[in-house]
Amino acid sequence: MNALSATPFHARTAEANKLNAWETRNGFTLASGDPGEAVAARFGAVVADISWRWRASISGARAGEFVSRLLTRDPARLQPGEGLRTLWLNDSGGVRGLGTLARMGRDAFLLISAVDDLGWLADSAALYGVEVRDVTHNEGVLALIGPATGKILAAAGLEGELQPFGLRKLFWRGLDVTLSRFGDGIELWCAPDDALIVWDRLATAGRPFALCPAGQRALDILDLERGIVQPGRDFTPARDGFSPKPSQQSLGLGALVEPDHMFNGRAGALGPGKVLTGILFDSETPAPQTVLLRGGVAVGHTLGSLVSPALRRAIALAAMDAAAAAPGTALTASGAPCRTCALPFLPEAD
Amino acid sequence: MSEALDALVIGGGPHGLTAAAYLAQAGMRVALLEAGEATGGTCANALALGDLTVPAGAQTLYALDPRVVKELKLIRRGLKFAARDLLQIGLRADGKPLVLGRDARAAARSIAPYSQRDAAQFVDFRRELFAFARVQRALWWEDGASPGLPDELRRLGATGAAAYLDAAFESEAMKAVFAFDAMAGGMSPAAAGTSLLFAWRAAQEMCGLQGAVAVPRGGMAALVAALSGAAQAAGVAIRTGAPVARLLLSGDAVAGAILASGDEIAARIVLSSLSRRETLLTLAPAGAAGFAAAKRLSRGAEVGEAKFVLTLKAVPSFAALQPAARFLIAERLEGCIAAHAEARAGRLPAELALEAVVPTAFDSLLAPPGTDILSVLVRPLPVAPMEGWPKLAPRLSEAVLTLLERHAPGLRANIVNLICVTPKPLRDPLEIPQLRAGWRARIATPIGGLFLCGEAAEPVPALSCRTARIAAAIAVAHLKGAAR
Repeated sequence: MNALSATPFHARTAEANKLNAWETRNGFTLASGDPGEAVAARFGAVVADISWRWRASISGARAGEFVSRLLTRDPARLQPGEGLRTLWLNDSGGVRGLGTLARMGRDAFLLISAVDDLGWLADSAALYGVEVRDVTHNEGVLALIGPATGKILAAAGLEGELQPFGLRKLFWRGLDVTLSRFGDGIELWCAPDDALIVWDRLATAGRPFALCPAGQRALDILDLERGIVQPGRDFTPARDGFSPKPSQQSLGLGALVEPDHMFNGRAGALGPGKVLTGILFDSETPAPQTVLLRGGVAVGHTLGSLVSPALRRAIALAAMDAAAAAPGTALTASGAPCRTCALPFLPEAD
Repeated sequence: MSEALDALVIGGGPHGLTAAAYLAQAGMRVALLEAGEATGGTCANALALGDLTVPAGAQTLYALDPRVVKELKLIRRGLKFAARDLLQIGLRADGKPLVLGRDARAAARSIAPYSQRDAAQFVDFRRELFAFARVQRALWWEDGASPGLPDELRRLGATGAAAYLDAAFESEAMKAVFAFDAMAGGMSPAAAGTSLLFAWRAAQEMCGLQGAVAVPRGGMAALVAALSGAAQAAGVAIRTGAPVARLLLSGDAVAGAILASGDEIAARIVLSSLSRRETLLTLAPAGAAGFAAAKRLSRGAEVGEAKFVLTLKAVPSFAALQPAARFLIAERLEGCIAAHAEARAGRLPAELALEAVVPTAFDSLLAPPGTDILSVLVRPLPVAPMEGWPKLAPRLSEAVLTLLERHAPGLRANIVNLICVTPKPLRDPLEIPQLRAGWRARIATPIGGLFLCGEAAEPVPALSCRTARIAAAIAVAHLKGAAR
């Protein structure tokens, strides 16, 4: 077994990990924290360590051609500093990955995902003479989530508007950092050696706004409340080159597929699919990967499911038949009453 | 760029010519692109051997589809056979040759010195094999048919040739005589499912005889001439000296080809008689065939065969009595399994299996009187040996000549010229499960409108032209479907 790594922020997250609850993701030791930390993001702001998320740099003269063939949305329109959320599929249309592609330069891209898929990317990129490298260890990344995020960044001296799926490099009082807006909130990227300085500066700037460190459990809840599907948590990605499961249709990820774009596995990804919706349970018992029944007839299934401390009930993402996806449809999951609702569960308060 | 053709066929070998002829007969406007200066591919007399020219590919025909012969009127176009049913003769260092002809009594007499039991069993062995093979013709001859005797097919599909022969015979001589055929497509006789190679071979028919091996009069070039005549008569535009650089795609469907000269030829469908690997990895744009498929295709065959052609001043002694025969040299089946492992590791194996034919002994058209041709296929050999073929070829020649000399003393002294064709790179590896699969999956590609029509889509690589016939039918149906 490979040794576990500590993220560049480990010294600080360990200190904040009052429950001493730990978990491992992508080979990193991470503070699990308390689910209740998610509530802080509804009023003030939380800071969470997302350095563990897999990042691969894709570079070479034909990098643009390669990512265009790889991804289910056309990245050709991206300018440097822009990103998009997308899938990549195997030859039969099975979803191998879901993540964000950012254009770093004319022939350089960065792919970010919760689950790594380096072998597939490297083998495929070799067809184009394109280089793919795992750069997960090359920087530390923090996510700032909550309504006070903007004010905290301003107080810290990190000014500037950022469009959704935008990315900007800044020089911040002697440090090279990058700000991006790829998920729920703002991400701040820095060199591993600068990580503790960055954490401390944010903590100082955030103190008047009740900035609170959050662990991975809270981060998962915030993701899910925002309606963001994450591979690994919400579905198991295909690991075979030819297996058609799970298809994007079965996961309700049609919004991440451009049918007119030519991508790997396109033939298997065409055709109508299920619709991604939210599910609100009456109880506080989550039901992940469970069939949803309406009047005894299966009309969909849940993906990931967690308890939302802010809503004080269990919630789930679900892939539903279009006919049963209207908000408010009464359903049962393993006997537990629930109903559909529109996504996101909770809006990101700016 | 002129108006789009209906179909483009890449490769002017027998398979390409056949496919083009069938497409044109179906009323399609077809062009055939051949990289070389003449059609025929590895069947063309392209290798100079002294004053003669000889082909680099097949030395016998054992799988040519009789329906292609009939439908393309190849007999009327001059295809004749110099030998219709070659004897299968196993040459032995430890005794008399095994002569396994169609005459069951003669075969039993020849086997008896090695094993009385095997002599008694051989007739049943061949009858059962031929009966099973006949039932599987539906699967191996036609598109869309389901296999007969599926349980038996599944059982053989998991049985190695070595285990199959061990069950059938007790003498090493009888097992060894089948060793060469067990290594078709670069397989090891120990590999699971290779017993199906015998059944597949037995399902073939030449000159109306099941499991026969024939040789055209005038050599393989005569087959090329007949097929070429059929293609031209059907209206195929044949372009030689026109190597294809890459395929043109529109979306995820093929739209034509670009020649090395830069010319673009638009076509609604393309049939390629090249290997799957060449077609999808070299000619198609990167990634078009699918990333996982590309990875699978990048692993080529590791073990192949070489061909030697010798001109001699006299017929080798083993062919003096029975000239119309394929002479098989392999000492032990186990030795061939070890040899395959050595070849896979990139080394020249210590033991080799040979199939030798002396076509001049039954065909006077091939060489002037007083000159004989000995054509030899050698298995198993590394496709990419560690030291490289330029260095290994002389050592292989020495090994092959030593082996031949053992069975034909004085052969070396009679050699006038010798040529060696080393194993072909870029060949697709044979996949045994394909022997149980339908044709469509092998012929269709992930790229719309692109079909394979050559050896790459055969269940076992062989000169059958059956793929071309079926691929043409599938392609025509595809075009008609697209028109609707």
